[in-house]
Amino acid sequence: MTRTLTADQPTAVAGRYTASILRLHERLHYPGLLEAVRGEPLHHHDHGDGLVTLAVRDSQLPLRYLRGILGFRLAQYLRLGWICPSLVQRAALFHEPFRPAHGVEDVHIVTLSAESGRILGYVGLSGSYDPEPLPLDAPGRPRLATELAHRIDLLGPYAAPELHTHHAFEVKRFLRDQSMPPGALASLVPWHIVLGFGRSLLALGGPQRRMLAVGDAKEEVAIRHLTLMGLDLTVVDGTSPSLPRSELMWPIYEQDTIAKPFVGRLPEGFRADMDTIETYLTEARGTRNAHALVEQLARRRKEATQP
Amino acid sequence: MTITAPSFELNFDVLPPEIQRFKETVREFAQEVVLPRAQQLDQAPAADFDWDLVKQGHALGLTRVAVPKQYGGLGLGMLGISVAMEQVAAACPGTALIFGATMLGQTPILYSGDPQLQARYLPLFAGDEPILACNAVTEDEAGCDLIIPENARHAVNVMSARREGDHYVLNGSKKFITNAKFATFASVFANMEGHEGATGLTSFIVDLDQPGVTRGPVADKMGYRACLGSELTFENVIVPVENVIGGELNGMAINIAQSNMARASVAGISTGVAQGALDKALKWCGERVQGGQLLYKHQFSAQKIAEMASKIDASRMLYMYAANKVDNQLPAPEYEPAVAKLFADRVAIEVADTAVSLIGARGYLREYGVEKMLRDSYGARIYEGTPEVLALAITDCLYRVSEAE
Ligand SMILES: Cc1cc2nc3c(=O)[nH]c(=O)nc-3n(C[C@H](O)[C@H](O)[C@H](O)COP(=O)(O)OP(=O)(O)OC[C@H]3O[C@@H](n4cnc5c(N)ncnc54)[C@H](O)[C@@H]3O)c2cc1C
Repeated sequence: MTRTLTADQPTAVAGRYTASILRLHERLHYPGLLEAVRGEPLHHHDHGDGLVTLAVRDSQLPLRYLRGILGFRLAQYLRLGWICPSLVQRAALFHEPFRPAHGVEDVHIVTLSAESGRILGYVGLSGSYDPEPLPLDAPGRPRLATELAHRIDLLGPYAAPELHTHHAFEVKRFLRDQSMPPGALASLVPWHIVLGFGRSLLALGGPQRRMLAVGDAKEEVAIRHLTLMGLDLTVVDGTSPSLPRSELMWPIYEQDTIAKPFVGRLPEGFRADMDTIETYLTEARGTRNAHALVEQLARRRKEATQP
Repeated sequence: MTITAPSFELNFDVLPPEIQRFKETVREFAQEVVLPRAQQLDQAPAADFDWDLVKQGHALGLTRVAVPKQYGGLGLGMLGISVAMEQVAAACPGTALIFGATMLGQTPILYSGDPQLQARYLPLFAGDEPILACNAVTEDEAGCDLIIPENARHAVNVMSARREGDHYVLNGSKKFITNAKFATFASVFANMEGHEGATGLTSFIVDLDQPGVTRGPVADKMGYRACLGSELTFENVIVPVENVIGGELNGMAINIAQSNMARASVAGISTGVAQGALDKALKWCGERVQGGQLLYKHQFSAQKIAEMASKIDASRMLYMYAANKVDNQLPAPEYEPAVAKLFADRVAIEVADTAVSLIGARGYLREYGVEKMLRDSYGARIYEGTPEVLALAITDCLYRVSEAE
């Protein structure tokens, strides 16, 4: 008898393989990561709330730790159903594949448990593949992954003499350890990641805030957060993203809610927003008020949009 | 007159730079961290275990020496392991075996060449927290019969395996298993039901944190007290089909291949024990005056010291030669590692014994640590092939060669 398997029905072997990879990453902790960073991190936040957040470039991490981070990503993608288990199993992946050497280094924003070194949250910024910077509207410009999935040109409309492809970073989806029990610590992880993300954008953009953060996200979730944190966001409606079934990440576009592509720029007051979040995170435990923070940020957004 | 000779590479003084650096790091760890604790570890109750030592060794990479770099290991092969084992064993062979047994547990996974199995297990050793593994062969009633192929059919009451759909069910128990107390997974050998003795031996990788696995009490050993040996009992333990190494019924071949790979490193441990004993004897004989002169200047003592040193050099060359062959030959050779281990195990006992005698009454006291080395020296003569098992393997190779001629 011949049995046909469709790509969205992982085999029992694939199921067992991925379960085993999840167990593997649950066991891996990296308390030594902080000390292993070469040079100054782009961002480092450690104020005794039980979490430590770092933002580092690829070359600042020994490969063992980079693999650990990419492993965390793979595990969360598997938990969220964003990656194809059968392809993961067939390729014997235990971490998301390394990107081949490229023009601009990737940045990893990682939140760890200060006590155990377990990775609890992550967001990444992928740098351009172009060996030499290209104008954003250069004909034949290699498309970013988001552009390919949504079949649109996201960067072209932002073409300007002072901007080129090395200023564009693709935002990898925000991830939180799905196995973390809810509680005070779990609720701080997204703020740590948001702060690390924002500080990294500022560092990459330099004094002129010259950078574009490109990606796709669900409107009610990440897009709302990106807006709240102060990014000047343009969201593109009406795309129907998909990836061929040979691509590891094809299931990410088969979810109930479709992710929308966006381009984010750094507005003038962005640093102040980050300072506000930082102040919130450094406040003593009993006095921290997340609602007040959200209200404060929302008020700022309102003021900024009012003529 | 000029002498011309064919050029060939055989330089035991020069290790590959990465291995040389690793050796130096491990030596420092062994001498500065392990050695000061060795006495205490030896005298402590049998079940005491020094996790801090393991943590420090793990940080240096001692749990992942042969794990390929793509899985976060050091990728230094059997030569790297053997050299490291010598250094740690010179301070405390029991501590060396904690790391050695972990590597033994990894060996079938490396040997399998199965990328999925490797991806599932090998990265475990790349985290910052130490993970241990173990290799479970020996049983209450079946000892050497599980490692001598001709005797497999005589093995009795061997742990059993039966296939049920996409998994196997394991029942039975293993004895004297180093690291069993803490290991995350074990390489386990069980006999497929319906096969006589151990003729259906099959190799499995078994997660030990699962229902049906019981870790027994720690054996109270004469030496090697820093590492813990205990029983492992399996009661209807489920193992997925993907965790079979090399297919059903090939366990004996896997076991032999694994031993061929590992024996050079055990020879490294024995060489380390001998070196540790020689170091103590050298110190003593270089300080102790009797008959108006330092002991080493008395010809009888001098001869003993010279014999010890020569034997150790020979042991070292044999294990390095064997390890190098293991790293460069597929399948791993049977002959050279068996010869290296047979020789080094004996040298360890002889050298430790001579060291005890050279040091006199103090050599007989616990506080000098050399009597510990004598007790320890007997350990490697038992695991990974007794002299009798090694002799059979060696003669097998010798006669195989002459028959082929
Ligand atoms: C420190 C230490 C650590 C160990 N760690 C492990 C471990 O991690 N995993 C594991 O599986 N085991 C381990 N062992 C057990 C060890 O591998 C066995 O003890 C060994 O294989 C011998 O088995 P046995 O003790 O049952 O002796 P037996 O097999 O009963 O042999 C007793 C004696 O008879 C001899 N003999 C047996 N058969 C023959 C024959 N056909 N011809 C001639 N002579 C023969 C043997 O050489 C030996 O001298 C460890 C042992 C020690 C001491």
